[in-house]
This record gives sequence, structure tokens and C-alpha cells, in this order.
Amino acid sequence: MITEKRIRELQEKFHDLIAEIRSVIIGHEEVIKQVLIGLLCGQHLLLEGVPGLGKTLLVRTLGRALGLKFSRIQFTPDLMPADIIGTRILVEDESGRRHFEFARGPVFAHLVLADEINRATPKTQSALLEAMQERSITVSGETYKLEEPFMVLATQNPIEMEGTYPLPEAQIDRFFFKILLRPPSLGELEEIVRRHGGGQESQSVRQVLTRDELVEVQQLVAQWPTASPLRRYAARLVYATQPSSPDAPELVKKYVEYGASPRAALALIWGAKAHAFLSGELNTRIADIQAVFYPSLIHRIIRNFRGEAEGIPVEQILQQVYEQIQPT
Amino acid sequence: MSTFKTIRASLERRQRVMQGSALASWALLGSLGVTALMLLGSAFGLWGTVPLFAWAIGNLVIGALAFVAGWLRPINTIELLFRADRHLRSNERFVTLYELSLGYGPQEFLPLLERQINPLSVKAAQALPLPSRDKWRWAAVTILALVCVSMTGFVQLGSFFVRTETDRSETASQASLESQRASQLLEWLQTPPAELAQKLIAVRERLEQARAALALNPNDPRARAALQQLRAELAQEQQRLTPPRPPAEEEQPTRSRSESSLVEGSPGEPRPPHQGSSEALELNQLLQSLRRVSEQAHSLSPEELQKLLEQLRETNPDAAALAEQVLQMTQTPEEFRERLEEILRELEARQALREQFENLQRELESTLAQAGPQVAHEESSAGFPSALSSDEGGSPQAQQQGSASEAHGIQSQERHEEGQTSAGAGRGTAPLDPEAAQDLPDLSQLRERSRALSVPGTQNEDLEILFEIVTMELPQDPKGSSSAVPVQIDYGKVEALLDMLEIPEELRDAVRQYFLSLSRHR
Repeated sequence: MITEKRIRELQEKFHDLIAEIRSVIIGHEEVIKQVLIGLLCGQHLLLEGVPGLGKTLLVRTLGRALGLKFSRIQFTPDLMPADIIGTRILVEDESGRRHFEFARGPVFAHLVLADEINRATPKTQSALLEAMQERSITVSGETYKLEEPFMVLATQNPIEMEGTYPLPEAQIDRFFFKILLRPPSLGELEEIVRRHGGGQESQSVRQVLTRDELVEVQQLVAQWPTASPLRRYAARLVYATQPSSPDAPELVKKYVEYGASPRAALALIWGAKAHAFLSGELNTRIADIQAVFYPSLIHRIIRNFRGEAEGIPVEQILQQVYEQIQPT
Repeated sequence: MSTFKTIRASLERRQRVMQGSALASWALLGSLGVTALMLLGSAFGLWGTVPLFAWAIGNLVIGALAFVAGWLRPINTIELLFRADRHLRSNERFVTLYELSLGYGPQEFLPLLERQINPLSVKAAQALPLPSRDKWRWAAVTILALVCVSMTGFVQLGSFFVRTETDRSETASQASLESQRASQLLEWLQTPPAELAQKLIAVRERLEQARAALALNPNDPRARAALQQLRAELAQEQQRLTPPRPPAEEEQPTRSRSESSLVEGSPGEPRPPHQGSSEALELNQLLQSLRRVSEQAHSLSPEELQKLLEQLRETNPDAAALAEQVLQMTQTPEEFRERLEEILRELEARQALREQFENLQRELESTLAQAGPQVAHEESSAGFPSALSSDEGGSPQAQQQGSASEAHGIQSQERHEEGQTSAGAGRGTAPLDPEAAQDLPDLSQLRERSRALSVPGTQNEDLEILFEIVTMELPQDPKGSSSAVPVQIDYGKVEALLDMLEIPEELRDAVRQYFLSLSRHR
């Protein structure tokens, strides 16, 4: 039976973890929190931002701080599925006998950074997405279980869309959050220059949490107390993104082709639980749901032709949903 | 009891109060609206008065019942606690705790969360504030209640929507007039009948004396003068036995008053024989009306009595005013009836006296009529027709009266020579100078006109009687001199006689003109 003391200890460790990451990553407080929420929920994240914003550094730092195995895959158009999941290779044993042996790909890690995932072909993308969903790899009829915790952080570059293969909506829906990385502010930029201006590698990161503790927290967060009115609120928020919903705001009815899927409601509740944990609370709050509202839904809203033609941002549509749907 | 349970009970109680309050406000809004409509209808006279006590109690009962119904309505505890969480910004702890207490979710969090709640910091009114719509509804209920209270006041003061300011002032002035009239009647009733009875006896004695004198000498001038005097006194005494005229009607002509008095009588009632004049009829009606009130007073409630007086006001205002005054002066119905009986006794005494006076007057008239031929002769010899004869070749009266007048011409001439005062001289014709006599209207023409008119149901003798009576009232010239004597004519008596003798309308103006022309020659 979990005790308050233990809960407080784990919460404290995560505070330390955040502090450790922030010692390396300048700014991006919300991004760090959202990444940790994804981690606590054991879900995969899609990071979107221009190159050079510290995406790889963030994931690597997180891996080090957690003592987890980290791998990075740079997606390119010629990247093959086998390059991700691994392939069978012919090896010769000590007796001289040759046999095929499965050489594990970079996906066999705790934290996988799929850099510029939209540059790979759909075939390659689906190989990764299948691994993300199934948390196992099947090669030549043999299934290989991915080790927990398993988390993929895919990145997308919003510019240079030429020659890319945008992820299909169904694939994007598999990502728990879509985290938007904003360019640093002037102050943050100065700090980045100050810290890393010497061309040195990032400073060493202290491990503050073990893998077992992470799994323990993941299990704890999964059962975090959440009252039914909050679940109803999350469901109403998601339902309001459907153009056919009576609660749908004007922008949704006008510019949305497909609203958020049930995965969005799950992401809201699950993310809210993790957010409550990180906030030091003992129960989920309305504020926690609201905190994860944008990253949970922003990649799950599919605008119609008119919305895209008029350039209506999804954030604007979600803003209207957020304001219109009040907890009752 | 755990901390959370205490808080929950407090919040549930608050919620029940709010539910009761909301339902009560709706119910009161409806019931007070209906009350206001009822009061409005009452103000317009659609139905009776709605008493304050009745509607106030009724609305209070409705409000209380609605409150109880609201209190007993089931509570959605999850919704209630979630609302309290939102208002108290307690991070949804109450609702989470409640669900955990129901067995949902990890139970190990229950004590952890409960420890985070401070019961002292939870105020039910703050957690569940009264919604603004409820506040507005209660404000509307309060306003409506005040409107109803004020409307009740207005309605009870007396149908303010119907009665205007002018109506009220008219009512006040009418009430004042009624009060004055009642005081006048009561004052009149204070004259002791015994005094009048003594007067009656005295008059009768004098009449007997005059009769005796006339029996000895039918031409006894003193006896005749005494009879004239008695007649005047009788008329005066009869006036004292008649209810005085109301102040507002004093200026009105006698005729209209007499007509109104006649209208007041019940059409089905036979006219008593003793009521020869409108005053007698009026007295009789007053008596009957008051007797009716007295008879019914003991069986009627105050409201019914007021209604009866209202009805009486329409038919007999004097009786109503008198009864109203007596009602105000008395405290109990018994006292009221007793006082009314006293008044009735007074009125009956006056009525009896009046009958006796009328009988006496008839006797007197009869006595005077028996002595009439001589008087007529005297008049023809000494009156103004003689003066007119120089121009027109004879007195019109003498012409009409024919040989009877001529037969008595010697006697008249003798009396004129004796210088005695005659009744004819008193007519104001004989003493007039010749110039003035020329301006007088031609009485013979008037007589002729009255004969020629032949109005159905009219007796031509009436006009003769009128002239006889009126001229007999004229003062006599004690010296019988030929100088002009001031003519005094009681025009009220002329009018009364015009009415009494049923002179046709067509002739009345001519008669009036005649007497007016007499006065111009004074």
C-alpha cells in the first residue's frame, strides 16, 4: 500500500529530475513538463519545431537523468524499416557453423528519438509506429518484446516540407502529445550562448531516478484519483471538437473536418493525472486537464478544406472549445 | 464523524435550504402574482375585498410548503461537492474524496486526501452561494408582496381605481350635507309635542268662540278677523309639525320639492287620507322608512345594516341621514334601535298632532266658507274692482258673481261709509290709486281664460277658491282710507295653493303675474 510519504518522495524525485534537465535545457519549461508527463504515462510524443531548438539534447538529457538507454534515429527518405527495427544477419559461431541472428535496431531502447520522422517513407514510418503501438517487434515470425519503459519522441520540422512524407492522421493519433517547441526568448538565447558558447559538450547529467522507480511512478499515476466530474469534463472537451456535436463552437463547426478521437479523451485524463502528480497534488484537478488540453488535442483536429485554405490555426479552434466548455 | 462527513453534511444542509428557497420563491412569485390579480379585480369591483390576513397567511402556507418540497428533493451529492470545490477552489478534493469514500479509485488515497481538508476553512455559504437568479427572484417576490400589501390598503380604503378625487370630495360633501340634515331633523324633533298640543287646544277654543260669535252675527268682523288670525296661526303651527326643508333645497321651488317627495313614495302604497299635502306625505314616508329600519335592525349585521341604509339613501335620504346619525351616536344595535324607537314616537306624536291641526283647519275653512257670501259681497263693494269700474264699466268680480254680489252691494256700501276695514280692502285693490289700478291685469280676463281653457280634470272653481284664499290673507286696512295701502302677498302660499288646487300649468303663470303686478303697485 502506497503511503503519502512515498508519494511525496517520488514527487520530490521528479522535481529533482526537472531541475536536472533544466540545468541543461534553457527555457522550454512547459515542454520539459509535457515530456515528463508523456514519460509518466509511458506514451509517445511528437515534438514539432525548427532544427536547433534542443530536441535531441532534451531527450538525451532525460535518458541520462533517468539512467535509461537512449537511441536516436535520423529519418531520411532512404531509411529502411530494418534500419529501425533491426535485421537478421548471418553470423558464424565458434564451431564455424553459420546461422541467422537478429541484430536489434535502434528501436530497442528505452528512449528513442525519431528525428524528422516525416522525412522517411511511409513504409519506414509504419515500422516505427507499429513498434510504438505494439511495444514489440516481429521479424521472420519471431516476436521481440521492447523493454519497458519504452518511449518514442518523434520530431517534425514544420519548414522544408519539400520531399517529406507527412504522417497520416491515423498515425499521428498514436502520439500522446504533440509538443510545439517555440524559439527561445532573448534572455534564454543569451543564456544558451553563455553556457554552450565554448563549443563544449553539454555538462554531465546526474541520474536522479532509477528505471524501477519510473515504472513505479507510472503505475501510481495510472491509478491517480480522478473524480467523475473531471472525466465528464474531459469527455465534453473532446466531444465539443466534433463538428456534429451540439456543444461544438462556431469555429469547430465551420473549419473542422474531423474532431479528436477517443484517444484524445484518454490522453487528457491520463495526462492530467501525471500533471497532478508533478504538481504535488494527491488528486486530479480541473487545472490539470486544462494544462494538458492543447498538447493532447492539437494534433488530433483535422481541419476541412476551408479551414486549411483560410489558414485557421488549430490553436484558435481549440481556444474556442476551451473557453466555451466549462466544467459542470 | 470524520472531517469530510461533517463538511458534507453541512454542504448538503445548505443545498437543501437553497433548493427549498428556490422552490419557495417560485411558488410565492406565482401565488403573489395571483394575489395581485385578485386584489386588482377587487379594486375594480369584480369581486369582494380580499383581506390582508387571508392572502398573507395563504401565501405563507404556500411558501412554506414549497420550501419543504424543495428541502425534500433529492440531492446530487457529486454535483453538489464539485460545485463546492469550484467555489472554494479546493482542487476538486471534496468530490474526489466522496467518490473514494464510495469505493471508487485507490482507497489508499482516502486518508491522504482527508488530511488535507481543514474543516474550519470550509464555510457552507461560501461554498454554495445563493445564485444571482435566486436573489433576483426573491427581490421580485419582495416587491410583489409590497405591492399586494399596498393594494390591499388602497382597496380597503375604498376602490381607489374606481373613485376619483372628485368622487371622494363629492362623497365627503354629501356626507357633510347628510350630517347637517340629520342634525336639522333631530333639532326639529326636540320641540316638545306637548307645547303644540296645548296650542291646539287654545286654537280650538278660539275657533269655538269665533263660531259662537258668528252664529250670533254672521257679519261680525271681529269674529272673521279672529278666524283669519287662527288660520294663519294654524298654518304656522302646521309648518312646525312638518320636517324642515334641507339646507340645500331651501332655494329650490316648493313645487320641485313636492314633486320629489311624491316620487319618493312607494308606488304600491295607498295614500293615507290624512295626507292632504306633500309635507304630510313626507312625514309619513319618513316615519315608515325609519320604522322599517327599526324593525330590521335587530336581525341585521353591521354590514347588512349599512347596505340597508345605502338603499334607503336612494329612496328616502332624510330617513337614511337620520338613521345614520343615530347609528353613529349609539354604540350597540340595541341602543340604536331604542334611540330609533324614541324618534319614531316623536314622529308619530307629530303626525297625530298634524292630523288634528288639519281637522281643525278644515273646520275653520268650513266656518269661513259659510260666512263666504257676505265676505264676497263686502269685497265687491270695497275692493279694487270698484276702482276699475270707472274705466271698464263695472267690476269683473261683480260681473262674475252676478246677482249675488249686487244683492250685497248695499251692505258693502254701508261698511265703506262706516270706514270699517273690510277683507276686500285687504286685497290691495280698493286702496290703490286710480293710476295704479289702470296698470293692474284684468282679473276678469283671467277668469274667462280659466273657464275657456276647460282642461280635463280641472275644476274652474279652483281658481275662484285660489283668489278667495289669497286675497283673504291680504292685510286689512284698519282705517279703510282711500289712500294706497302696501300690499303684502305671501308668494309661497300662492305657490302652495297653485299646487294644492291643481291649477293647470297654462294658467299658473298668469296667476303668478297677477300677484306680481300687485306687488309692483305697492
